[in-house]
Amino acid sequence: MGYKEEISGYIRKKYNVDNLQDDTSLFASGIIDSFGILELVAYLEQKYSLRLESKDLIKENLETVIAISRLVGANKQ
Amino acid sequence: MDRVPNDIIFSLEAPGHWVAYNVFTRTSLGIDDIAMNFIGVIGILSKEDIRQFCNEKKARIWEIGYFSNCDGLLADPTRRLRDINQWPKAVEVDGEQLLRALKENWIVIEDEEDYRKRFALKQSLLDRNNFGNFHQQLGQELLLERRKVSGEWWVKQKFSDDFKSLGNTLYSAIQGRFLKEFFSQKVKPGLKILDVGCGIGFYSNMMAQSGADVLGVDPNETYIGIAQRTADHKANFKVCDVGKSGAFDFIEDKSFDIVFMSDALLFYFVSPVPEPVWDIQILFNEIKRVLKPTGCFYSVEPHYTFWLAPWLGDIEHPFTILTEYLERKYLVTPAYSQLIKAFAKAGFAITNMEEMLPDDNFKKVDTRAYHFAKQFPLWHLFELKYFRE
Repeated sequence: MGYKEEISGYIRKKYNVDNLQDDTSLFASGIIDSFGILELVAYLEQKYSLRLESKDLIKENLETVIAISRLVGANKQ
Repeated sequence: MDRVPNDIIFSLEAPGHWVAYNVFTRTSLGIDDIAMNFIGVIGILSKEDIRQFCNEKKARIWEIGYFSNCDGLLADPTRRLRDINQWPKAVEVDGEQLLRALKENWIVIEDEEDYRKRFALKQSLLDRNNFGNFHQQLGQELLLERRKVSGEWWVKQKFSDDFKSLGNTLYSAIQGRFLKEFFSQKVKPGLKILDVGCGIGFYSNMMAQSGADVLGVDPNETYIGIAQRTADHKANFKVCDVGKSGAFDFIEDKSFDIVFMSDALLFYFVSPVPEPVWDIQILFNEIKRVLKPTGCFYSVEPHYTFWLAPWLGDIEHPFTILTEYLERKYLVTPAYSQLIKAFAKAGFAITNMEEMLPDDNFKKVDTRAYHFAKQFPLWHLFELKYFRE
């Protein structure tokens, strides 16, 4: 399973989201709030054994499943 | 074109050790004489000049800025390491590196219009473009740098681990000391007191210990949970949507001798999120309804200069630079006229007002904080009475 599928699965299960597209805005849709960001970042770091730099924690990198997958991919290299 | 904005002050901390400080962004950089010379000619240097500037001898800089809010809301708001003995090791930089460091700390800017536009609310806690207000900066730092939940952090920075006392900070030296004495004069056995926005109920319990029957209300379930676990036997607590119309519907008319509020009204003027603040008159209408005709409303709030005033000057002879008052961007507290007009509009008359000062014993704990708090008060108390028509 790729990053996108895993991350999408995590968000759907964690926040009880039925209809989550890879390009759905997690913030505009209200799926994730500030506490959710903390949970998401902790999940990503544990799941993929990486440490995300605070400078990378910007809206553009966390807004959608696609963006998050890209962020993880870039940090796994 | 690169330039030094008019928001910068320079101070000489020791020979060859300058501090360049942006009073609006509260960012600073320690710089040596070579770097000071560089700053003096910024704007007339070509790219080649910048590359050549430190060719013979590199400049030295010290990263002395830090986000001091995280040490507690009453930590030094200047946000820089003062003692040069505590400065980190100097970093030697060439002209390009020096210019980059100056720009990162907003000592040098590229575009005046872009820089000024950044003094706006953050659109979210992930927004690193706009500087945002005090609350947003703190929220972002806690969330993204410290990875902490702000509500939990707030309690820890104010109270001891068992929530039974205030930490040994200006909270206890000013607010705690003042209110202990104030309650001993005003709170009598049998009085009925409503503590609105009581948080974990610390002051509710203090008033209950003087024999009053206290009801503490707060919208935060976690705080009320702590309050109930640490409650004095004469204090009760209830989760309640303070500020919303009908929030006090479970309370009878004219039933409280005292309504007390501390560190809560500011949020009716300052929103930590880019949304409108709640209408303070809705809250005041509820308070008026439950207050007895002879009752008093005591409001303890951060002073209008709270966290707006960097702690500058000699350790025992402080001065400050107030960077905003009526047109607020950093925005911690309302201006006095805003608060007083809100009281007046609701029909409250001010019958007393105190500016709180620190306990002299605190001078030994933190001399600079003590002298600043003595010169520039951190909290005030209003005594208010409602005059019914």
